[in-house]
Amino acid sequence: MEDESLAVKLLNKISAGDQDALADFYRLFEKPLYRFIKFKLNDSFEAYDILNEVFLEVWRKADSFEGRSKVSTWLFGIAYYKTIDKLRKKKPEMIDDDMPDIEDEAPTQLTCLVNAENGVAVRFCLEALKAAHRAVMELTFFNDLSYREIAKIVDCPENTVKTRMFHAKQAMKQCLTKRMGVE
Amino acid sequence: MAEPDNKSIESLLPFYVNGSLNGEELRLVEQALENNQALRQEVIFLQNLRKSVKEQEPDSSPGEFGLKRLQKSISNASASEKKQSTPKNIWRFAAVAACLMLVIQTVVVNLESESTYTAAGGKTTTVAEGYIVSVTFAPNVSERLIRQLLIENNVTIIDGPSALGIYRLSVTENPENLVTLFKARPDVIESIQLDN
Repeated sequence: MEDESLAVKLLNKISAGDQDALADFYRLFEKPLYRFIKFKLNDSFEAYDILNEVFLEVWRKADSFEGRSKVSTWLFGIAYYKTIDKLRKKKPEMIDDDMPDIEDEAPTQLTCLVNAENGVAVRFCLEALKAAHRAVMELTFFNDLSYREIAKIVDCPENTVKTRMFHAKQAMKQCLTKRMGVE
Repeated sequence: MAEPDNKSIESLLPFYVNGSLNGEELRLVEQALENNQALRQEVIFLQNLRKSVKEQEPDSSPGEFGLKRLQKSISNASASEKKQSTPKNIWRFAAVAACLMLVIQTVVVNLESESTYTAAGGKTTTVAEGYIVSVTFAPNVSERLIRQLLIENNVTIIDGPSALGIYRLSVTENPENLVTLFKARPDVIESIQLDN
């Protein structure tokens, strides 16, 4: 992938203290990274702060990237830990990963209701997800990553990623059913 | 290899939908979908959900503002590293000065505490109504001009400044008009963006 080889080259230059390379690296990843952080924190100002901290960490620790994963996986992993840390200080209950099994909700009606016209309800339900579930949902459906890559970012077993995604999907169904009054 | 049950297949569906499955897992999912109407329905739900997630627009990212802040943080970090090598006497002097400031502030706060004025550092919670607009003010604009513009347009500051100098303003009506009006005042407003 072109972006990946560019990112690796930039990281090498950053580890040698090249600030122009850091600026290019920032421009390459700033938007998707901000989206990921904002999606989890739901606070623009805090997301700005975390974004700054992530790139500062890149500046300080670029030489610790060993190439065992994609640059984006390494970078999103740093962002994930910083946002989780922030959430832990703010709202520990939002990180809780345990969730009871939820009965499947009327999939046929929901299939029709999850569309652009109901974007507000979808947004409300996404924001109501627990942070760990929201992160996996975002990485799966916005970044289109495989469960293996997501497992590296959030540092958990691959099966946990699948379980979190399953719970996130069930929680979305339950929330959408309530918001839209599907019987 | 044993055939997976429906639950295992269902847990793979989000990754089938985002196109990241391959090899044996992809084959198993495709095979299961051929014979199972409920799973096909689930795929349609997930496809719509993925589309909705992609369509969710967050606020604008900090862009070049954020880059400037990052560069400033790096230069501050380098400066503080250099300062660590300064002689101990300077730190002693700074510590004495800080203690003196603390004493003065304590006296001032205690003197003021007898009146009903409680602004110093106190946090005010404001409930925003209407629309939210984010702005940065021109670097050299006076407080008088800012106040005048905000009062004339019935706008309230509800948050800020952030580390990037961004303020959030609450507007009760016609936010688009306000954005146009504020854009026509570059002497006061440096940048403006409607948040909702």
